[in-house]
Amino acid sequence: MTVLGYDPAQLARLHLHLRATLGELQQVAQAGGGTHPAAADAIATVRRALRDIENVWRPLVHRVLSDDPLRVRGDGTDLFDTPVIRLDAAGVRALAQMLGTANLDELTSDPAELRVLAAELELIAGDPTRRATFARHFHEWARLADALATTRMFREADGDTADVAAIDAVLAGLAHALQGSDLSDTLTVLDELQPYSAALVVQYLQLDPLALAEMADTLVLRWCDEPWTEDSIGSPSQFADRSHPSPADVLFPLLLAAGPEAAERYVSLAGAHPQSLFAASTDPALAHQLMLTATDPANVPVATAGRLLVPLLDWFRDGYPGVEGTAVYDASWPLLLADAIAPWTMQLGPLNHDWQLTADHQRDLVALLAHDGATIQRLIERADVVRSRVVAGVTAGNAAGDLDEFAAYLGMLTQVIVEGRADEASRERGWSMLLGVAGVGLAFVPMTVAASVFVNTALVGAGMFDPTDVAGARHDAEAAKEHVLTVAAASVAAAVHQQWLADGVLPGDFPAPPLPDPTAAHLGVAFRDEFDTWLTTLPGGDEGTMADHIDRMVSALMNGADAGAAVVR
Amino acid sequence: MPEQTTPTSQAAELRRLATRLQHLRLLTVHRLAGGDTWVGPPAQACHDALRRHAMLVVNQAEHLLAVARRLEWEPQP
Repeated sequence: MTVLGYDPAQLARLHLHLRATLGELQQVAQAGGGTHPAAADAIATVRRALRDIENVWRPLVHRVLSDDPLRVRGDGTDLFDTPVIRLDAAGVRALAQMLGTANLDELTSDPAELRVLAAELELIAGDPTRRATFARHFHEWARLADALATTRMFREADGDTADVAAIDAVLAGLAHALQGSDLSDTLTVLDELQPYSAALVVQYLQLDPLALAEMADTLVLRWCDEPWTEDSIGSPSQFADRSHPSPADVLFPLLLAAGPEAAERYVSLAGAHPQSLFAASTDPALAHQLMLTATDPANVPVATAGRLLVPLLDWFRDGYPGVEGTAVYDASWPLLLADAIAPWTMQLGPLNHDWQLTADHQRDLVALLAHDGATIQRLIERADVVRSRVVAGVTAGNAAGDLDEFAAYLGMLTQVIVEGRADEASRERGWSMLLGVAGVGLAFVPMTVAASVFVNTALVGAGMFDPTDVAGARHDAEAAKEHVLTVAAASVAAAVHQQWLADGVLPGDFPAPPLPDPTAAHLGVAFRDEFDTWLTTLPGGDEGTMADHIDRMVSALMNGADAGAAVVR
Repeated sequence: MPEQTTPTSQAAELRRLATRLQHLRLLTVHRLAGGDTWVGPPAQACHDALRRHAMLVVNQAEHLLAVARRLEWEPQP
């Protein structure tokens, strides 16, 4: 069994220094230190060091240097019968050659042996010449790495962490020995390994985020497509239920640790084959986290989010080709869908073109969102995210066209939430959410902070944002839509009026526009009637420019909803 | 006639010895016995032993200096 690897030049240096050290210690011991007992203690300590080095360590170093272990290594002696190896170029070559023919069952079952081999590999990795020599003479990367990965699988299942650590140390040594090689050589080596073994090596290669993402994509896709063979890591039955060790379980945590750039790149690549994201890890939470990190508004602009999300949403829309009942079936995808789309609901609005989707495509994705009660329930739970992103989207521009878009979006969202199969409690929360989003309409009116506070207070005081007053609307989509959009329209009208007062366009005592009556049978119709009457009181009457301005905004909200709602049907 | 030893002269001797100990090559030789030089259980044992001896000698040197300080502060006869 190998117990020692060494660099002859370094060891010779150590030998010289040990000899000089002994000389110094002898001088101190002979000179003594005076009569004080403390000096006697110190001299005794020096003598103990002197004896130990003289009798044990210098002779050991001398013996290693005097022997010719390379001859032992070179004569066909088994790796495990060799007590000492030289880690100069010739020794590295000998180690590489012997590793190529070693009995790997013996090696992988001996943690002590593995630890020494790991240390030898690190010694090789630390020097470019040794590394190059090793790369030139070691040709059995796949045989060794796959054997280590297979044993690791069993040891991990047994909970044998010490053995797993010993194996990981060798895999790290192999990775470090590979590092610094030509990239194409590294890729050639990794290509020969089973995907899981390659992932175990890749995790120690210290790749940059983009390279890591691309490597992960290659390996996970290979894992997804590979049939069982005798070289595979995992049994045929594990392959049948796809529970064999997966590179995704090794590399997804690394991608997440590497930051949003790595997640974005991986998710971008996975767009072409989403099974590598959703059906490769035994822990769906990892895939979810990758997707959410990659499409987080804090990390990506709108267009990029669409480029990343739409292919993945399409994959779910097309029926999710995962095999139900397998270890990698992700049953929680409806929740993921809501989490992923919550920041981007405006982009599914019928008049929104941020993602350049066709109307049919947009309709399909909205239908996917509305398809599952769990998705809607989750979306309602994420109301704060939905609303804050709508606020961000709306305040980015105040054109009249944006108001139309907002109205259509609001109609679509109302239809999705109210018609969805959410339970009673969720309907209540959903209703609050819709009214909260409706209040975002205020952002279309440029107002001072004081005016904004005044309008909000008036609307809240009138019960406009109190969902419990409109029981019917919780169950009827049409009534709900009417209520939500009327509240949004009334909010905007109140805001415009308030601003006119502030700007002196209207006298301070000019009456405010009507507020919807929560008890009215047809909230919208009643509001519209009262609002039309109010328009006639404006300077210029209901045909004047002021009436035209405020009527355009109110009408956009009250009429635009139909377009949005139609998308869901 | 032997020179009379006083606390002050003892302190000086201890300081000289401490200084010699603090400059021994033993204190750093273990750095040459690490993983860059050799690996494996015997190599590790050698490295650890050299470091242990170094620590013991450093501690002795510090102890000598502490004793010397105490001697210097004692009232002279």
